Amino acid sequence: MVDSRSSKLAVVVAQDANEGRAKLVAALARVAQGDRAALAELYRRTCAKLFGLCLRILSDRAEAEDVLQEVYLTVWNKAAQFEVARGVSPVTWLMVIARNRALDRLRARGQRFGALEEAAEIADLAPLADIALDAREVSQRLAACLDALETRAASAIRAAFFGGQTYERLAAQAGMPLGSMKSLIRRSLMRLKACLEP
Amino acid sequence: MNTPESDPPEDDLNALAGEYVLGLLAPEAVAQVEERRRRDSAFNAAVNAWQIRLLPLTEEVSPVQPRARVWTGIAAEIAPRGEKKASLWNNLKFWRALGFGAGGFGVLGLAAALVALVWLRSPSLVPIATATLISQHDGVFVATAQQAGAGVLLVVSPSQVSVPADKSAELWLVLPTGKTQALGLLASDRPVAVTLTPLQLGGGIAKLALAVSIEPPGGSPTGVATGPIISVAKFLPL
Repeated sequence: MVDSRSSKLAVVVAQDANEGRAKLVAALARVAQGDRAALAELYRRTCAKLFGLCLRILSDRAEAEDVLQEVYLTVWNKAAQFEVARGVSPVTWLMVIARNRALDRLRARGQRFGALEEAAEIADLAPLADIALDAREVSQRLAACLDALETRAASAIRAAFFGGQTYERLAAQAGMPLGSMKSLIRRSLMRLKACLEP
Repeated sequence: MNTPESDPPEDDLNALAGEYVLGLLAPEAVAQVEERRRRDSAFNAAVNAWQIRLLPLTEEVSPVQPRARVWTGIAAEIAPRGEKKASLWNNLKFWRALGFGAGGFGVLGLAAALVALVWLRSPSLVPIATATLISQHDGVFVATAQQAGAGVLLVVSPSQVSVPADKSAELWLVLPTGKTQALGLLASDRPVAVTLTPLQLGGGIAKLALAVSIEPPGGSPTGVATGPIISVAKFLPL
């Protein structure tokens, strides 16, 4: 009884997710043709998720807002590129851009103008066109693979992902020698890769 | 054991791609990785694969609603130019999408969009790039670059910006080298036009950025920014 109800719910949720994704894909296609209303729709549907990520990385509201704005202007100018990357969910595409921009900003902090010219170009995801993702499923798999690593490796990977932390800072925080932190992370990354792609 | 630097094995390169995506590398190493991405497509694919592999971590982040001014700035930047402007005015869907009627973004968005529209009206000037300078305190300057002969006419429009009464806001051009050049004072209540020379444009507008600093009345006495920099933004080519 409970099982059938929850599986029914799961189907409904999955349908909603597919519908939402289809709407985003359609909006993005219209953005590529210069449809401003479509960008407004895309923004309404995704801005809270993207802003949450920018805020988590930057811990500064004004800076996170600045980056968020850059992200949507990038989307406005580069939406046509997404057409090539069919199969990648629009949210994935947006989140990669948002994270890269936020980390660029984090690195540029304190350097004033120094980092401007080094700002990375927009991530070119076209080669990933054949990878289709179900966000929740993939997220659970990643969490399971991270849990299988040494605890300190998993937490260092999370800290680095959201914090743009360099090896030096991670090692200092964990009270480990720099070399040990490096080999721990490198070893863990290869284990993570193997776990995700058996 | 040290890895030989000349010929790193595949696993090492793959781990390097992962380290890069995690943001663990020092700036010099980041530059090397980015250089390698450009010439080594297999390595670039490894970097992209790590992006996708690690991205699901973002599912752990709670959504947060940004303030309305973020969309205000975006709306100002994407305001139409040239022949598209008439259709915008008639496009009720567009205004609804911006939140009019729903009370979402209101007058601020309209004001910013209007300023951009007015300054993009002239048919002889072709807009080539924009930069959005969001103040750390409040408001935003929207800079629109338009090709004018060999140079560029820059129109900088304020939206909801406040500058202390005893101070001036000064606009700076940030060259690819990181050097800055004074471009003049900005007003908080009206657009200001500035010309960029072909020499200043150098390798193209996409390599340039703008900055705004708060200076003594009349601008920096030294030729470089002396006060706090309230915003820096790169040009986004159109």
